[in-house]
Amino acid sequence: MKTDSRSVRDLFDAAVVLDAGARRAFLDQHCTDPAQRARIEALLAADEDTHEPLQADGFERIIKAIGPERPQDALPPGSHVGPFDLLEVIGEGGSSTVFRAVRDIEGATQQVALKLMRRGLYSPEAQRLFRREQRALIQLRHPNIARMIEGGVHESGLPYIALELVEGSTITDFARARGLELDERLRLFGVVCAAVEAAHRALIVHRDLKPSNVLVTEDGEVKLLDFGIAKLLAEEDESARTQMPAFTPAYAAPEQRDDGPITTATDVYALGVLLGELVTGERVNDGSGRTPSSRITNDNPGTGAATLTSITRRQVRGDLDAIILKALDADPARRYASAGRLADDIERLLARQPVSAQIPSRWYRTRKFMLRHKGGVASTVAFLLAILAALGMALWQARLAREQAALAERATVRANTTLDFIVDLLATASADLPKADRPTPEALVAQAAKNAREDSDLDPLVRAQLFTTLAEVARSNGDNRQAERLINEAIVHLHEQGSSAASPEWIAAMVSKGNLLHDTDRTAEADSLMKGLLPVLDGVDTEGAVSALLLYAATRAYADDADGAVEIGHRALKKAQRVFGADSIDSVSTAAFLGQVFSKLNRYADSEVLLTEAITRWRRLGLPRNETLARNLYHLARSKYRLGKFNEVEALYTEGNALMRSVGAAPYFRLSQGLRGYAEFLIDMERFDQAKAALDESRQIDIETRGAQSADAGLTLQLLARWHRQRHELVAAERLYQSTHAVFAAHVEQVGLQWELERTRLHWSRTLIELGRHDQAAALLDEAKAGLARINSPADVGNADAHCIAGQLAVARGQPELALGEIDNGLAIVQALDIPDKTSEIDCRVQRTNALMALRRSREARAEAELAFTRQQATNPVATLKLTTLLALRTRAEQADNDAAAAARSIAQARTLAAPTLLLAEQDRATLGL
Amino acid sequence: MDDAAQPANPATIPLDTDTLFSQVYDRLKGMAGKRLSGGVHGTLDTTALVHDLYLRMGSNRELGFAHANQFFAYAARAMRHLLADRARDRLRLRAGGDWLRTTLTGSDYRLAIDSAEQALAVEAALQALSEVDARAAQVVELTWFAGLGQEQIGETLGVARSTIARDWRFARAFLKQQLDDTR
Repeated sequence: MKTDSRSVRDLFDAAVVLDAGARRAFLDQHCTDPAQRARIEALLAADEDTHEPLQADGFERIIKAIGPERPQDALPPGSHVGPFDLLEVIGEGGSSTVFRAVRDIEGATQQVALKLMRRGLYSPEAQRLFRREQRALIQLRHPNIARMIEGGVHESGLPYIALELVEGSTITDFARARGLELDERLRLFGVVCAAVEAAHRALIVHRDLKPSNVLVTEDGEVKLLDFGIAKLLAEEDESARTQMPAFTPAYAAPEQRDDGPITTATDVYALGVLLGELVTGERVNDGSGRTPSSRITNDNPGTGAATLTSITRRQVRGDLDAIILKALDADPARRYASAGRLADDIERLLARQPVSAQIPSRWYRTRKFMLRHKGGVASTVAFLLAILAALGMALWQARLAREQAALAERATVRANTTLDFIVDLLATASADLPKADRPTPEALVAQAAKNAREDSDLDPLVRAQLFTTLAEVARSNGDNRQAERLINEAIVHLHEQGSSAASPEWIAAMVSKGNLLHDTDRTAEADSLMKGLLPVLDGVDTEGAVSALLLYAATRAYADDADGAVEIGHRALKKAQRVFGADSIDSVSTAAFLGQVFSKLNRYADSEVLLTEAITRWRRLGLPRNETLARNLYHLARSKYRLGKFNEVEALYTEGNALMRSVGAAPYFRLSQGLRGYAEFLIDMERFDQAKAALDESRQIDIETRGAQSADAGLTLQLLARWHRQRHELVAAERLYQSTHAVFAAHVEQVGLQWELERTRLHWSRTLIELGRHDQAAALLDEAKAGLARINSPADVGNADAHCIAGQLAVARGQPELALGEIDNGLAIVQALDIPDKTSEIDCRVQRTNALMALRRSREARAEAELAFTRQQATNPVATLKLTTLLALRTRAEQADNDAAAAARSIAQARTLAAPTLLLAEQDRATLGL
Repeated sequence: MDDAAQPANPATIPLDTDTLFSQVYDRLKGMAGKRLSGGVHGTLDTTALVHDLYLRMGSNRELGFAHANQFFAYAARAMRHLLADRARDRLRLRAGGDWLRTTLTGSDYRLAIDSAEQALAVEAALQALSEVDARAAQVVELTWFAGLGQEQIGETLGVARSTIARDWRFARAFLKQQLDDTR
């Protein structure tokens, strides 16, 4: 009843403005009917629900999903249209219904296909244009083009076109039904091209070429339907267009979808799609970037249209791929200039002559693919970069081989096969998939490896090389287990192929294996692998040989054979200059890498010289300001930091980070490394706010790119812990060391972070001692010692730290004698190392002071504290917090020695430093009276 | 005064057979079809469509609308009908037909059917609303299909903005409840 419905609204309006309690009272009083009460309450509940009944783009989504409109039954059979009688519907297209129709001409019956549009032409201008275009079409005569007989506008306002009635099947059905061989299909396609070319000469573009418009009669005669119809029915004014699509999206060229200019190149594109479908059975322009041939699976040659034939991938791969891809280029200017040119290439192919289309556009496509997917596949950026590097290698090999004419053809094919393979692989990662469904890099590598094992078409040597490439990709992904499986597979295959030790593929596999061993803390194994390779390297001037020498230099460095490392490193540099030219980016990179090796050898001064020289050369030669340059800037900054040249560090990090930001789309994982280096420096400079900002950014990047549990994230966490520790925020530091430890422990086997893990254990242990948790600290320290014993020589700064921390623990437990022994051991190691970084030495001396005070050897304690302070002042006078702490220690030693005057002077000196009091340890604040 | 110059209100919105209405309907349909043809990349923002049409018709003085508000009342209703007609069409063809199979495949087909059912549920809810409160239903029409703000809807319907706000609140709760029931 009307009154009821009014009251629903009224009751709702009155109740909705009340609070919950008042609503109940109101409804109790005014709404006694339980059914209506329930209804009102449901409405009120719906009112409170914050979800909108329909999302903002609701209708857009719905209407798109519903899809294109169904054709109307505009006119029933039996109707008269112009001079024709409609007999039956023989087809329905997106914008029209096609009837079989007849007319009587002087007693003879003419059958036609009458195409009746579903919508009228509204403006007089549109109708005028329709008549004009129609005259042009009627003049188009070609044996392979269905003739247009006449056109007009039905009294309902609907335009119609009468066409020559063709009884036949679509070209793809015809090919399938007859089981045509590849050559027969190509000949048929050649006829299509010739017909299209003829129409183009008459300045008529088809605009909607697709199999259903290309019929073949029983006699095998090709007939193209609907030439120019699309244009005919397009309204003149784009903005007021009321027509249904004037093309078929699946076959449309990019410029059609983008409302770009329609030219004969548009038809060339559609011909490319048609050819692809004719030979592979699939529409090849699905945006996947796959080569046409890769759609043919080996077990099941020619699915779809190609069924009943034996068209194989091998037949299509190469020239035919190239022809189709050239026709399908997104840029109209890069397609065949005309249908005739396309027909020429088909002719040449049939005559087994070289075709004009060139395969190298594959590299171009790969690059395009990567560009297209740049933002979309953020998590796989690293992966794509790795592939780029791998592809670079394959192409370089092809280039090299091209120079050796005899090998040219085989090597090019090989490189292209590799590319094909990787393009296929990338297609799997298509950005069309929802982000969550996109395969991970790990899954892609696994899939590629599976393909490589099963693809019987692959040249065995190519297969082996693919395994090497994939191993490299897996390694750059941090998936070392997978990498090891793959590289071992590659080595077995190469061995079976009888590859010689000097062959590029063997050297590449060895370098890959060596890098993997090195990455996973099996440097000694890598070292002997490279040593075994050394004899053949001298005679081989290739990129692979350079890499092998560089790796060997690195493994020698890790074996503490500094002289050996330097000697090998220089050989690598000389070879690089021979292979790439002295001023090439690769040679400069090699020099820079050598600088990094020196840095590992604690030869920071040598490293600084090499990196400075490399970077200067880089700038002078105008080499690209790229990621490699940024990384070298980082390394130089690090060397200078280690050398204590603090005033030169900041500019390098600033430049490196700015550069890194400009080369990678944010968040960029490689930037994180530079931010960490910079933060480490800032922490030492006690510029805590800036350090924190850098670490926060780095942490954000880690989380977004590599994940919160990644090795990179661990490195950032470690610095965050250090940040807190330096500020004497021990509880926070302890918690962060614990997190860092968990992350590193999870990665240590796979990625090889043994050294970082042990370092974390040491710092964590030290923090625990200071928090009074001695037993836990002792257990950790033992773990750290055991770990260090596996990776370091006894004369390592890590071992020195371990001794000093053991001393600190002993002092804390009231065993100063024991402590002094440990600390003296530690100091001996650190002094023998003679490294510019005095942090470990100062820490040891602090512990020694404490031990001496506990032993009541106050005079010695004072001297020790003084030494610690002097060292700090000499190396980093900016760190006022650290200096204040050391002065507080000295004050305590002086007080223990009953020298009140000296203690007062120390306190006064400490106060002038004006370090942030809040960040001092409580004990130091008490000592200094702050 | 010319009839067409009067501001539209629910009572004066014409039947579907009205010439003016069917002209608006046809034009919208054509524009929608054209945009849909862009495939997955085509966008079809229904309110943008209505506004585009207004600009075209307004500049061409093609149709006899004296006032923008009147046009929007027509266009919103036309858009609503268009959506419902399309949905019915699609469901009628559910059983098949070559056309459907060639234009839609697999999951798209399922989505099309689901969406059509969703569109009809919205239409049924609007219908139910108009039986309870015709003006509230028109407020929804103008909001959803013509993208008008409450101020402009108030002008179109000749009532205060605060009334429109109350209408909207009721309509929103009503539709939510109806749609949740049918889900």
